[in-house]
Amino acid sequence: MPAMPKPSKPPLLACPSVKLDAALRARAERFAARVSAARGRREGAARAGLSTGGLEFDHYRPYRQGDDLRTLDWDVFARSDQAVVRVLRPEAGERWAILVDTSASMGVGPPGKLQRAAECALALAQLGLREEAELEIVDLQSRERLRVARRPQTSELARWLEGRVARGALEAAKLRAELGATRGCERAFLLSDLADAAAALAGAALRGGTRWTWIGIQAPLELEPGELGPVRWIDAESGDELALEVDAAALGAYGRALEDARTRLARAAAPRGIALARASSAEDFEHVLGRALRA
Amino acid sequence: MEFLGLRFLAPGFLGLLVLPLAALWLGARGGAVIALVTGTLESWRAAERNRPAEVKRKRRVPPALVCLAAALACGALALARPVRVGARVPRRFTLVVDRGPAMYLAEAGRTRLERALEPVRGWIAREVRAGDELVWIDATHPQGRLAAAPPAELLEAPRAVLAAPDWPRYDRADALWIGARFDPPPVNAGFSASGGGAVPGPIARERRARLDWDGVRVVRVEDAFAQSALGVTIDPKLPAPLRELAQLWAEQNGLVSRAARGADELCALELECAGAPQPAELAHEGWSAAARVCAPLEPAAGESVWLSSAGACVLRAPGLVRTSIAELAEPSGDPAAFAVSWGRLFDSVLLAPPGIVALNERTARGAPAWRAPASQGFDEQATPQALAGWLALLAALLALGAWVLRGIRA
Repeated sequence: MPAMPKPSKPPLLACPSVKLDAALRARAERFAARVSAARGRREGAARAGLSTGGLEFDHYRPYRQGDDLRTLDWDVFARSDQAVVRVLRPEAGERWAILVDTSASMGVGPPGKLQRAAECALALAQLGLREEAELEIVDLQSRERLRVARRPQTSELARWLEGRVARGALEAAKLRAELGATRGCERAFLLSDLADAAAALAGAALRGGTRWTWIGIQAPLELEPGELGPVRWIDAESGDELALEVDAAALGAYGRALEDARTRLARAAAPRGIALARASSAEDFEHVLGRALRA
Repeated sequence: MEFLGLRFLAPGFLGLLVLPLAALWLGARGGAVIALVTGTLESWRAAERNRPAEVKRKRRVPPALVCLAAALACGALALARPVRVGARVPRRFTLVVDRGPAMYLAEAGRTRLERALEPVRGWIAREVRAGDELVWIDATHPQGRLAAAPPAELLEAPRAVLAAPDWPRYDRADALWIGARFDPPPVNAGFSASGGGAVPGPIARERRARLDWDGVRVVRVEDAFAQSALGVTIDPKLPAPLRELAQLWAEQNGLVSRAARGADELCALELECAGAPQPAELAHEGWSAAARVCAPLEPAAGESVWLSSAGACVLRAPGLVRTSIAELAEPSGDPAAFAVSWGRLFDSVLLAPPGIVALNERTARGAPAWRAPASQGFDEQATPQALAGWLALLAALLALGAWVLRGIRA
């Protein structure tokens, strides 16, 4: 079927914006507390078995709900009646970067990919704050940045994320530049649909000291479109169109093309130590991040 | 309206059949391409490049839409109330005709009967179809006779005064009463009343005088009848006591006795003797007499038995007395009883001269009235409902199927 002429106006996106209500913020905090507690248990176990295991004391901070009780400093508690936990290196002083793709392709849904990416960003930021990391959240399309210090700034963070709108095209060069701009970060997360990530990764100069986790979020329509019949597909970013009969044969070919793209990205990411995670925007952010943090 | 062996009682609803056609057309047209936004076209471009060559693009209508269109079509057909033409059972209507003298009185050249039959003919043309049966009943045909149109004989005024039909017996939905006026009208039967104004004219005869009604008064006209117009035929072979009594009765009534029958006689007394006469003892209304009687008589249409002895031996009909009494002895008992008995018989069969119609027959009958029989026949009451019911059920099932299949694409 021939490609169709490019429309004059950009396509209308189903889910271009972000909404993070109080319930979602609470869920993000609970998620961060749970993950942080689990990490604390792992680190505590390492400390018990291997002395400090290179985990040096850095500073105290007030005890928060969800913290592992084994990190509580009982001596301080006995002397001052204040519950504080000991923050150990190397988590203290870490710098985290969270890159959020806000190109138009993230407005595809429902459920919206950008919405789910923003939820993941909020939860990751909560986690980073719990772990006393310095955060930098980056809007890849507008290149706006939000830096968050060690104290919780949940409302400001949520408001900033709610200001993100899916629009425009994310060029490979721009993505490459932002990937390179994370120098000095111990941890970095990319929240995107990873549509053209393999191409961007090809020429990217990634710093070796950064642990990257790339989370690819796609809409159910993109993962399992089903036999839709005749469809005029519209590229969210370029506006290009393609008319295609989506039958069983086309679905099979589409599935193979998706798998090929994943394989190419995995091959490009593996030598750079990038952990890849795939998710559907229909999944809860807890499931998405749970898988991504284990990757 | 008939189509494919079906007749539609409400064909206007067939116009709704454009709805399923429009739905299919719109579905095929609108469902051809849906526009969807995706993150990247790369994988779809690859899919287009790599799809098997033998797979052809087809434009198909979703099954749910096909079901919906079929449901709409069935619904439209159900509303149109189809009737299977081939399966129709012929209908039978009973038409009861009053042939009394009033029906043959003419106004402006048309009798009341002709006027009453006019809407009946129109109804027959409109409603009665091949295979339907029309049974015509009147005083001369109480069992009825089949005819697709009013029998011509109905239009001929009977010589005798015919009794009115037994109307209540025919007050049913498949019957149609035909008369001058029905007051009160039938409850169940249809009716056609000619109505009509008063028709002045001769109303009675008194010997050779005639009584005329001018619409207000009764006027006596002396010697109004020619002698030939008042003839009575008395068979000379009749037994003497009977023949002499008949002649005496005729003389008393100003009638002229004849030996042979004529066309305009008012009454005829005939002997019919088949076989050898047999002795018999006759008795009736206070008289008795020894007699010899021939073979019993068979009553013809309109005749009734007046006297029997081992079978009918005296039959009477308007204008006619037939007897098989070949010989009759002098009656015993009171001679007056014999004369009164036979005299009443002769009076009862004596016809009025032509043109004489009783005053009550000539009075006005009011406005014409018409009501078609309520019955639609035997089959059409049930069949359209049954067919429409099945179609409605099918429409509901198809609509349900459309709902179930709504998520499935062609």
